[in-house]
Amino acid sequence: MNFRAKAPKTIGARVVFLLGVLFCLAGCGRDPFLHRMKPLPAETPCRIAVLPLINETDYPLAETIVYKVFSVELTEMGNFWLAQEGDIRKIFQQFRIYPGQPLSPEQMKILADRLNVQLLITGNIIQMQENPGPNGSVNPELAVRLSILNADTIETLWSTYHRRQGIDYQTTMHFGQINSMTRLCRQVAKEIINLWFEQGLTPCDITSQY
Amino acid sequence: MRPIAGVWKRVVLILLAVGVAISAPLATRASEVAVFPLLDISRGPNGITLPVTRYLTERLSETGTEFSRPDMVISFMAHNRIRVAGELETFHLKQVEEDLGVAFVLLGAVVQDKEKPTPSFGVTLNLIRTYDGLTVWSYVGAFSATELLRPLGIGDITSVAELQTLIGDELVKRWPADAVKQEIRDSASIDSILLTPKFVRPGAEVHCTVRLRNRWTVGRTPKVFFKVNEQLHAGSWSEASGGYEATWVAGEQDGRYPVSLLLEWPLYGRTETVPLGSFVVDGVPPLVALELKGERMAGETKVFRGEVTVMPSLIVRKPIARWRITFKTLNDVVVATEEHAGNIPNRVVWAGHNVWEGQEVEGEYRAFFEVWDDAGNTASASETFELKSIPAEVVVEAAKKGEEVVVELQRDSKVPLAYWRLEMWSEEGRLLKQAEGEELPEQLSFELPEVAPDRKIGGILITEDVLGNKGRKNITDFFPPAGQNKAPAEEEQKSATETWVDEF
Repeated sequence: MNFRAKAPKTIGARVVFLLGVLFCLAGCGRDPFLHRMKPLPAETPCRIAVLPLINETDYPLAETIVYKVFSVELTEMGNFWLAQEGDIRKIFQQFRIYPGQPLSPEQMKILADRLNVQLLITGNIIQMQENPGPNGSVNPELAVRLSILNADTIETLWSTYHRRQGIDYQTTMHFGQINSMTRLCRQVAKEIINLWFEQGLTPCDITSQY
Repeated sequence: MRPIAGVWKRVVLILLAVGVAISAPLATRASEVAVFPLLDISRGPNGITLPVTRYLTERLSETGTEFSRPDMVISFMAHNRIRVAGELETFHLKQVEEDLGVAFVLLGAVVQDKEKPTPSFGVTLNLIRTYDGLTVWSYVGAFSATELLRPLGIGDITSVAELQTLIGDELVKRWPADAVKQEIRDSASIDSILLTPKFVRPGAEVHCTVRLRNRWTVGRTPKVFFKVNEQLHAGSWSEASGGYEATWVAGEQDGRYPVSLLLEWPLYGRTETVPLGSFVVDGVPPLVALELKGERMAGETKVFRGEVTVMPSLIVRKPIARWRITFKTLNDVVVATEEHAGNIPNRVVWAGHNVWEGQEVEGEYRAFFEVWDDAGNTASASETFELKSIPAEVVVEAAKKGEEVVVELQRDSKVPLAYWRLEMWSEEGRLLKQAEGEELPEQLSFELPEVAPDRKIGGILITEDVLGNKGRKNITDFFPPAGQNKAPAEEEQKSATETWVDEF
């Protein structure tokens, strides 16, 4: 068990932690929680498949929105080679499983072998909603859980939980506030990927491999 | 015969020909990116939005990138039963490369498109390389009207259309146009091109054979045409050459005609044009003139002694493919000829020998110079001249008239003399008389010193004509006894000793 944010043990540290929490609540934002169960493969993983996410909300096609935005950010920030979404969908069809339904470990192994990937990313959309804000604005809210799996063993290596809303980013007056669900998705994706990089996931130079 | 110029010109022409062959265009592409309809999440999991797709494509066209026609992409989707927008299988990426001839595919989704409660718009795009399925560029654009509030609300965003404009502006700035252009994709890869001839006369046949490296699967083989001046000539497959070939008749109008290979895939109405080269229609013959150098005029006739220098020239400058010079008698008997490829020489020197018999020739001849341009148009020029290498004989007859001696000189030649000298000697070796001059008189009269009646009077006549032919005539007896004066048995006609350089 290795959480990104741990409760401080000393009094002084607790004061600083509380101040930090207050500061974050004032608009600076909070870091995602990362649960590291196993280390990443020694070899830098460059080929990744993002499996269809599972939508646990009432928001229509929330899984598609997050999937599209997260995939773009992962490509842009990490320069990874991502398996084509169409290829993944095709394999789901062959398994006769609707996208959004979980795969069994055996099916994941077959999928990983066929796509020749080193890591699998799965996830759930736990919360996605657009709350009314002041002056007709929208305060989007998003909570996701994303996991990194070893494609060889189908073991979960890391699991990340992140929850954010638009007003988290408000600084002064309305400035900084995110009013668009797409922008919030992008922000959440960036924060998760940045945390992964901080914790040891290495960006790739995929162009050198082609 | 020595063609002075021409060797280097031939070398340059050969190098040029090799250069043209090497620099033949090898490949081209019709367009660079195929934009597939964007997925529109607001319309459901299978929704598409053609207006947004069209708008973003138009904006991206500002960067100079070439995009496939939308109807071609829709046709491809229908033919391959692609029902979901915003994604493609790797198999289909390969098919796009082969069928639509593009190096990249742009896939995307409109993930947010809401007018209320506040206008907001979000789009994701992925630029994917078709040959390996690598996403080379990606983009997320998202705007909300409330994030773009301005002081006092002046000029605030009020619609999604305005947000789309902002997305379009940002997209144009971030689009990797240079990277897209650098990607070389051999849609139609040319192995070899044979376009002959490069220069033709109007109405002549032109033939072209093209070998392609591409191998298309059954049912996806394109129709092949050769496009010449907006006219299409169907190409046919040739087992012998392993390529496509066509033959057509060149037009009547002079000019350069570019030739392109046009591949047509009827399935998607896609065409691709590959420039192959060009040929030139030339119906204008060259204009050539001929000039003789170093001649002496004998009346109207140009006379040479042995060596004849011919200087051909083009009245209008034009590339010449080959030339030929022929020396022949007035009865068209050829005594010398020579032919070379390349441009005309500055001068040609003929040593006056019959090339087949190896002997010096005398008499009247015609120099006939012919040229052929690259298209085969021909022209000729000729000059008549006379070769005179042997001095004309002078008939000498002397008679005594009283105290005087009269010497009659007869010379039958159009070539005038430049010098003559007559000497008369007694049998004992005493010089009796000497006369010389430039123009040979018909008759000389003079008094001779006393000579014993039984002694002979001999002498010599030396001549040199204006061409330099020297003659020497020895006369043993100017006054032979009756009955012997018509028998100049001891007369000797010697021509000047000359050494001619054998040129032929």
